[in-house]
Amino acid sequence: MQLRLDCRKILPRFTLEAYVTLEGPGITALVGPSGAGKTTLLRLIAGLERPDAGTIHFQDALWADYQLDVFLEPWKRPVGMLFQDFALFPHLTLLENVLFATGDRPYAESLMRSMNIWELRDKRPGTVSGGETQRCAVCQALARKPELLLLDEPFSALDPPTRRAVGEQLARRADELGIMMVLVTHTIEEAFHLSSRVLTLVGGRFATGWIEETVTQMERDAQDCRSLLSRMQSDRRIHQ
Amino acid sequence: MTGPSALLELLAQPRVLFPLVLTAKAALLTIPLHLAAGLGLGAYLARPKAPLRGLVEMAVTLPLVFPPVAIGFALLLLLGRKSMIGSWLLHGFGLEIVFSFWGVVLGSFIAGLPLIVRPVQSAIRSFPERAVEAALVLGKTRLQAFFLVVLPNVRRTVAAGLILAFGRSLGEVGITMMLGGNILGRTNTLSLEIYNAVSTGEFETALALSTILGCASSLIFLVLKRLGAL
Repeated sequence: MQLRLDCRKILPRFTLEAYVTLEGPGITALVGPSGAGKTTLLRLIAGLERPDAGTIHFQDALWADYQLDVFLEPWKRPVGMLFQDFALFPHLTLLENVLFATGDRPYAESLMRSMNIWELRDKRPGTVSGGETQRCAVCQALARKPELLLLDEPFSALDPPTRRAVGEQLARRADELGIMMVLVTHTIEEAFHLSSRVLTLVGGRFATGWIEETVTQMERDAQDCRSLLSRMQSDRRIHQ
Repeated sequence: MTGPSALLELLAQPRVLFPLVLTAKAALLTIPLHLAAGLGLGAYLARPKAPLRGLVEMAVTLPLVFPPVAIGFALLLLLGRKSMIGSWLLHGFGLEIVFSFWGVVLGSFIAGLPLIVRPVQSAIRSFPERAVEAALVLGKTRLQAFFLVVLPNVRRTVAAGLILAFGRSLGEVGITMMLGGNILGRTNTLSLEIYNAVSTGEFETALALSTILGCASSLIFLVLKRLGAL
């Protein structure tokens, strides 16, 4: 399984240089600072944006070629996507949301059972918790049986334990289905915990060094916190 | 005029019954036209990069800000027998719009158009684009995404706009008078008949017809309130 990007996209502040080949199955994490072009990269793969130059190939299929004016519409690509700022359709129940992507009710049921949300099938998205909503969004994205699943920080609104649990459930399911996933995340620990490959995108270019810089900064922040804490403790002792 | 029996007696008269039936027929035909145009134009104008958007938006809004009689007169010149479009419609399709039932329908349609298009446009524009994109990556085409995702979420606005447009069409006078000609027994709608009755001093008839229009408007108000649009 191979996704080959050989394209550019002109953005207001910089040009996204997407020259990379991703191999699957498995999870490839994409990390980088805010506004680095990570979401745009996923949108190019999903067909929600057109490249301004170059090509996109998945396996042997040509998905986009700027010069030949080839562009495969999103609904024709075997892709699923989880968005950062949108999860489910509010006018449908959880089951209807999953069935929206597939007419196969037994498959929808098996997906929802595997994510422990079958009991909530008749509830509307607004009446269940954030974690349950995201688990249902995962079922919806998998219901179409995609060969490639794109995840644009889908768990960023969840608390850390729920985030870890949903992420692990998703990784297990992806392993079982043998699909390829691209996970955009801000959390480096999450990237290394869930995926076998981590790519870094900075200012629209794939780069090295950003992870090291961020980890060093995180260590500095942790050191600052530790010294602040010890100062507060010694102050308390003096007052006592 | 005293009591409901007198009102019913008056309504049974052919002179009063005809405008009632004509208005009902025109309104029934206008509703599906408003629905189709409201959804089509509303969706088109909600796209920020739609070609000729400004021009179409101006044309749709015109009946709200321009005197109806002037719009009717412009349409009379545009669609009259001697005009290019009028002659083409008459000789090509045998369709005569001016001073006919179709003139009444067109007048009702144009008068109510902005009241359905503008709210639908605004509702679609404020609907999150991300939901449409989610539908696209779930295998739905743009048209399917519109009917399966956008429309169910803006249905109340569509219904409210449709009822408002219907109400405006019922009370339309200016455009209908110019395009239909207010010909007795042919194009005199309910609103025009009230005007005719007052002109000839038949105040009882005018009162009876106004009562009917008033009842229809009150019903529209109640339905809109129920839909939460007021």
